Amino acid sequence: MGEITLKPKYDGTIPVECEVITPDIFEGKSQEEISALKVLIGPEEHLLSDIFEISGDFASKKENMIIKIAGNAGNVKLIGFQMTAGKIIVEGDAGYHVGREMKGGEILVKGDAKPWAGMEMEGGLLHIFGNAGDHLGGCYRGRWEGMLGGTIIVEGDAGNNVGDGMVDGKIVVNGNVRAFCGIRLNGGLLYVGGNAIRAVGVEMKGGTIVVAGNIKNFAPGFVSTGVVSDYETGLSGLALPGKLIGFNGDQAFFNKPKGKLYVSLIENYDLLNDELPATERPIEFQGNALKVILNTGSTIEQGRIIKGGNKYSHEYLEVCAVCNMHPEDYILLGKPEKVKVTSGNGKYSVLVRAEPNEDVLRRNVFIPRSVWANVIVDAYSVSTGSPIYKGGIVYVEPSEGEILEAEYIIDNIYR
Amino acid sequence: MTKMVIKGGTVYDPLNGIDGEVMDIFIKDGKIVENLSDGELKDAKILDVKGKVVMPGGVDSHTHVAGPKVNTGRVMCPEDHYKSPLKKTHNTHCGSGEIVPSTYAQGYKYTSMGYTTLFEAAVPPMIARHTHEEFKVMPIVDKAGYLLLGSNWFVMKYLKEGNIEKAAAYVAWALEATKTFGIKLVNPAGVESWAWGKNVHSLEEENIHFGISSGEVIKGLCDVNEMLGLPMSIHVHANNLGHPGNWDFTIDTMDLTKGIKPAVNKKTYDTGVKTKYSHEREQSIYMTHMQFHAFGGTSWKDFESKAEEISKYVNKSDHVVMDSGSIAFGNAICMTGDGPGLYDLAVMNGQKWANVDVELECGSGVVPFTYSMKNKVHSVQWAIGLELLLLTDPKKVIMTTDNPNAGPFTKYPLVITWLMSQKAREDTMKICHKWAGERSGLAGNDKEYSLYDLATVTRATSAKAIGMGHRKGHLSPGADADITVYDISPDYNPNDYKAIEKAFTTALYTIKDGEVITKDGRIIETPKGRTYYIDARFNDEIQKEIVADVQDWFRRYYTVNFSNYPVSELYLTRPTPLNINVR
Repeated sequence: MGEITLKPKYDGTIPVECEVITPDIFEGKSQEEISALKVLIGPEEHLLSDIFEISGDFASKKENMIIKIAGNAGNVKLIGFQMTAGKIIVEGDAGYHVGREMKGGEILVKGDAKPWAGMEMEGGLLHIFGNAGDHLGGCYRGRWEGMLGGTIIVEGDAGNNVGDGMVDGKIVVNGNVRAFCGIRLNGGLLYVGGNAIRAVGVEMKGGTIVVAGNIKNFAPGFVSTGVVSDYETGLSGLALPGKLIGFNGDQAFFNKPKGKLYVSLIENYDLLNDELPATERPIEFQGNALKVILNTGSTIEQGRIIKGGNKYSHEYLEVCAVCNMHPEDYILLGKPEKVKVTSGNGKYSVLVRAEPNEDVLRRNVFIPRSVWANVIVDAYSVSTGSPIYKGGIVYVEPSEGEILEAEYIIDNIYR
Repeated sequence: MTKMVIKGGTVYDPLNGIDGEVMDIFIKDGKIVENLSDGELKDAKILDVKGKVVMPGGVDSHTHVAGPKVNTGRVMCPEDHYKSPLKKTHNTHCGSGEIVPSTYAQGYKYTSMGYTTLFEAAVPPMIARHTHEEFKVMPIVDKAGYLLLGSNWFVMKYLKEGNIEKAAAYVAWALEATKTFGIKLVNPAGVESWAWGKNVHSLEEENIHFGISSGEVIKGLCDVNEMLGLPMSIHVHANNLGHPGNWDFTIDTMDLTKGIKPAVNKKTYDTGVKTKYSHEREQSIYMTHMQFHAFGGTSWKDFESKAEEISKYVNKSDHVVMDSGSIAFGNAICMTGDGPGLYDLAVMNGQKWANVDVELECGSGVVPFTYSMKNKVHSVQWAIGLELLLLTDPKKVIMTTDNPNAGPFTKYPLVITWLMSQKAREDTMKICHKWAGERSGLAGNDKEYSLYDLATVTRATSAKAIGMGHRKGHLSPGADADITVYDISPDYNPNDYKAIEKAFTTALYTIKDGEVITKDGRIIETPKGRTYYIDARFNDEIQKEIVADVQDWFRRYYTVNFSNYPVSELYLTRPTPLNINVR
């Protein structure tokens, strides 16, 4: 067993593209040769030795090689890219795309992994002891096939789109997952030990998903196949609840889908009831502020005004600096003339006119996509590059301040 | 300028009847010449290609390489790009993409395969500017585009009124305004109905609002074409594409223009180049991607090949030329102006789909698709595409994959192996679905293309059919010095089809306008290619009337301003108008 230690010494914010950190590339290279491997920081080429202090035993075959990253490597991308054998141990966090397209061997991440861990993986084991980000074991944008084989184990939680497009292999997340878990699943096994939210298994054609916890906002395309006991599922080695509800889907997308979805009976008893009443969002106050969902979008009026770039006019303010809400919510807030809308994380707020509007659902608000709305839009993008213009959480409270002109906002708030 | 001798190669030049003759080709100032004087020979570059095969530069008469829908295909399929980066070199740009490569990469890949002339098969008039913007950065190749006119409001209106002269004046105006080359019909009359969610399914069925049938549009535009004397005949993507049992409909479509005589008006651009066999087009209708139109049966269950019937008809008819649209298994992106056709495909496919309505003019659809060897229907389609090429007289058929609809152009070498080697076909038939053999006549066909046949279907016939015979598709003195040298022995072994594929994947030399552009796939020079377009002068009075009509409808219905519509020559690389005077 030969161990090569890489001690991180780069702490910049721009991630480093380090697809060279694999036993396949290290094999047969001396310390000097490994130190001279090229990596990219943005468009700039650097040497691997600029990023890590490199030491250890360089003589072993890749099968027997252990690459140890002794520290946090959250800004190092593509660790173990396309590796076929050997072992990589990351003692801290791992950056984006850890274990991408790996074909064999083992990667252990003692800390957290950033999004796209195990993307399009074909074999081997990726074990993450902390939390994983979005697109765990997922596929590249637009592709039909995600993970093709191998095993991913996450001891903590994982983000959105876990296992999207998975064809074969196994993903085990012992904690919770976020939305779109197992979207477009074609095969393989996806196990979630905790809870899941929104659209689990949508567009799935085959494969198996197990959610041992609760599912919030169950997708409509699944048809129940009845309650089964854990031993009847044919799944072994997983912590299953005693009774599960089986589903087949996603029938909203395919004629005869082979997708199987098992969810814990005790956590999801409501799902057995075919006619679930539509539940409204509860009224939740934080101080004076009502918790609501923010939707933004361009309006025709707004388009008419800004044709030719007329964004600094008062007319634009009148049309766009407005918060449409359901009349009931409007009354709940005491029919305010103006409201302060605060972003979900509480960091940013903007003052706009309040307007009751029956077209908006209860506990939802609509603000035209504009200079004002953009102050409070959630910057989180699920790795898409586009923030959440619709569906983010904000807080609305009555306020007496002054509605700021677009020019002022651009000059003072965005700076 | 340059002088060059291509020495000792074995030449295949079908338009001159040269079938494997060892001879020297002389080049001077970008053109092929009879010979060079002793003085000129002294400073001429000598390219020794003894034992290699020499052909005119490849002419692709039907490909989709530029314009909005091609770009939509790229945007929709990021997965086609991230694993195929093409590195920048000292003289080439970077790029990516396998099915629809980026614009620069397309130019490099096409030329390293030996193709020097590309005709983009569908340009929406309103978005012609985009096509030219992409042409502008497409390196090396000569190019032109066909204008989508089959569901154009003006054309349909004038034809319905029976005013063929006005229709002709509009077409002449539109070709010049958009700097395009020929008349393209895609699902004629049907695409207009598609704007209201409908389609037409027969030649007589009238479409919505204009009340004109597909048959009337095809005949009308064919008359217009010959009235103007355009270099190419009408280029027709017939209705009912991809529907089982469409083959007899296809024959009826071809029958429509039987009586119309081709009349090319080439006085002003004729270079006087002579070839042994006429390089003048003889057809009045060019049928595209025939593979999709030669379906038998009544449903996918009794689906079968009707390539034999189609080939029989084409062989005995002088007024038809077709391209094959052969399938190469694997990933493709279907992209066409046939909006309803691709809607049907998208519903079947259940995956990604893009659809566009181009105001008063046409529509478009894009659907990424995979042709699978395990699939019954795809296997038969594969057989149809090859049968059409094998059964039809090479003078009347052109080898294409309708890039990238039935497969990307980079699969041409694969299609070539299936044509040149029966063993290649048999080996493929062993691994694809058994329907390929059972539902078509391919299994019993022992024809193997010779290099002469191959040069015919990839050079001579295509150049002739699109009216570029005055400079492309042959090696007569006076023709453009676009020449390809392939590293394959004239007495190759057809059973060793891997070697054939390799030879046609990368040309040994590609020469464009008398300059060596690629050697063994390495790009040496990246000159800008020409852009051909039609500059037709029609009766001034009628021209004025139709422009007034056009301006009126612009004010009322278009989202763009009339003055922003025409594409100026500034957008074109080496603009090369083909002047046509009908006054």
